[in-house]
Amino acid sequence: MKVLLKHMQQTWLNYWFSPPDPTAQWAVIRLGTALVLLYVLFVRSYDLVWPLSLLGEGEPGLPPLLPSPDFPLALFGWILRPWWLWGVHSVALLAAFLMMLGVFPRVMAILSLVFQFSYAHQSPALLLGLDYLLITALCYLSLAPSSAMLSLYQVPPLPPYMRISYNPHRVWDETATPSLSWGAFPARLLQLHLSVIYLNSGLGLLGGDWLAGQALWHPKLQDPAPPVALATLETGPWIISLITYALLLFELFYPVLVWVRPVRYLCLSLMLVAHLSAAILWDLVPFNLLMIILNIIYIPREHMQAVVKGIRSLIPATVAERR
Amino acid sequence: MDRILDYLARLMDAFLRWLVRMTAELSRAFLIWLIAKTQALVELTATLVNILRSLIAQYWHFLRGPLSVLAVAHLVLVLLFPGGENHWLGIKRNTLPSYLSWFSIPDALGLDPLLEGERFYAYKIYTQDDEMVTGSIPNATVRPKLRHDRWIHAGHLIAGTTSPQHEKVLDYIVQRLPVPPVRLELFKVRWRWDRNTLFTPWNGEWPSTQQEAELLGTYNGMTRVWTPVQVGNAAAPEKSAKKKGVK
Repeated sequence: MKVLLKHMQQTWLNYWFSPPDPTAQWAVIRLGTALVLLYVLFVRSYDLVWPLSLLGEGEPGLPPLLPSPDFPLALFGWILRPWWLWGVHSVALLAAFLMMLGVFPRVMAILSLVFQFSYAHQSPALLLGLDYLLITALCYLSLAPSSAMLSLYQVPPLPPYMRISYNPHRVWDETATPSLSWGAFPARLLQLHLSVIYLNSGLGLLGGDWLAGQALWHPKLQDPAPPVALATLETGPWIISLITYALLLFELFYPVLVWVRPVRYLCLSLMLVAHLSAAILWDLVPFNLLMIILNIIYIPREHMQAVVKGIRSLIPATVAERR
Repeated sequence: MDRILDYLARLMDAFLRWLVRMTAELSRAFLIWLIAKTQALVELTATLVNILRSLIAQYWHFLRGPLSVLAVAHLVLVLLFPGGENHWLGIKRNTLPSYLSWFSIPDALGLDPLLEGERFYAYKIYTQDDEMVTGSIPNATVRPKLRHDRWIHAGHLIAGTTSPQHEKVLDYIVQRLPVPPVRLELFKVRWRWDRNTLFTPWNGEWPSTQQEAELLGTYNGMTRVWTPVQVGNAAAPEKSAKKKGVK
């Protein structure tokens, strides 16, 4: 009995901590998330000042339409002058840019997280699913070592004293092999969290229209006038029903089947098709792109590492000569 | 007298020189102090991080178990209470850890903004020059698509169904007008994105929306009275006693 308990305990701990660090996956996720974040912040620039007047406490003397909640992390709650807003916004853009380059990515992820909370509290009415997904991604990126690949640390032409990781105490050296098997832990968390997102979403769809196979006839889904007009499929309504059921089944079974190694790539291919279709048909590119990027965490470590190394071997051909 | 003035000028000159030199010295000293303190702060942080890492490494064997249990608890909460609430169990978010509200992703394909947001306010202003000006709240000319999605979401939230909310919006419009209008009509309409072309309800390009534009009330600039349309009976408007002013 004691041996069995010991074995169970070891298996449990191995599940969370033993697999080698998925460095390549984290590197790609960091890069992709930072790019989406930069785009989101760029689009935020348009509405940096204006929501204050319409939705918040903007112009003194005039009534706000929606009050902003109080929250200590909401940096914009302390700022009233537009040029200060732009200053803080520039720092947020810089943090996202540095995260993309892989400069202190965990610190930058935490900073970006604080900025995302601040934007959320500045204008809660403007929050979309994309913001929540970004917050989730940044939460796990702030735990994961993600700069061991595709970052400034690996730029070979720089002499050692110019590399950002240079530090005599090696305290901030992210390239050092983690001795705590820490990297696998956030990866497991993200994998399970993504499964939970799909499962919750699938369960949420178990309603009248989706079960009847008519959800895609919803006028609100027809409204955005996708490039391939769904209305042209009126001659074969069964096609729409088939797509509806396929999407429903995908969201329900993907979180389970993606854990089965033999069908993992099949599931990932279906995921790619589903997200690309949603992105193109309804012009929801940033959200679906981020979902695809986060799903990279399911790709086996050795495969992903081989792909990233292949890409790297193609790029620095001239760099290797210089060395 | 000249000597005294000359002496005073010299004194002033010496004082100014001393002031400049002292300012420079003080600035230099302050900069040195600032750099030293920053360096000390960085070193202190590095030391603390080192100590923390050593402690974690030392007790890692014992920490892994509780950490994995915490992770499971977190994931179970996210599974059972997506966004902090569970509709089936009737549990609202304020009774649960508030951090759960940040993990609210209703649809994995991102279709929720399409299914939720549709309403916004539009208005027609009849000016004193016999002209008619139209507009919308929020701004109807937003680009790109992500920004548009944000605004339809915001529009959906602020275009509430209650009369006090409509009066608030009317206040918002009227108080920003430079000249009092003769009449103002406030509508609740639908917003549509069609590949960089926004169809407004009045230009005839979107007939279906013209039928869906719902008159919420009328503001009379002469009497400064807001007359909301009674819900369920558009033909019989109910007069509001409240008078609106123009700044």
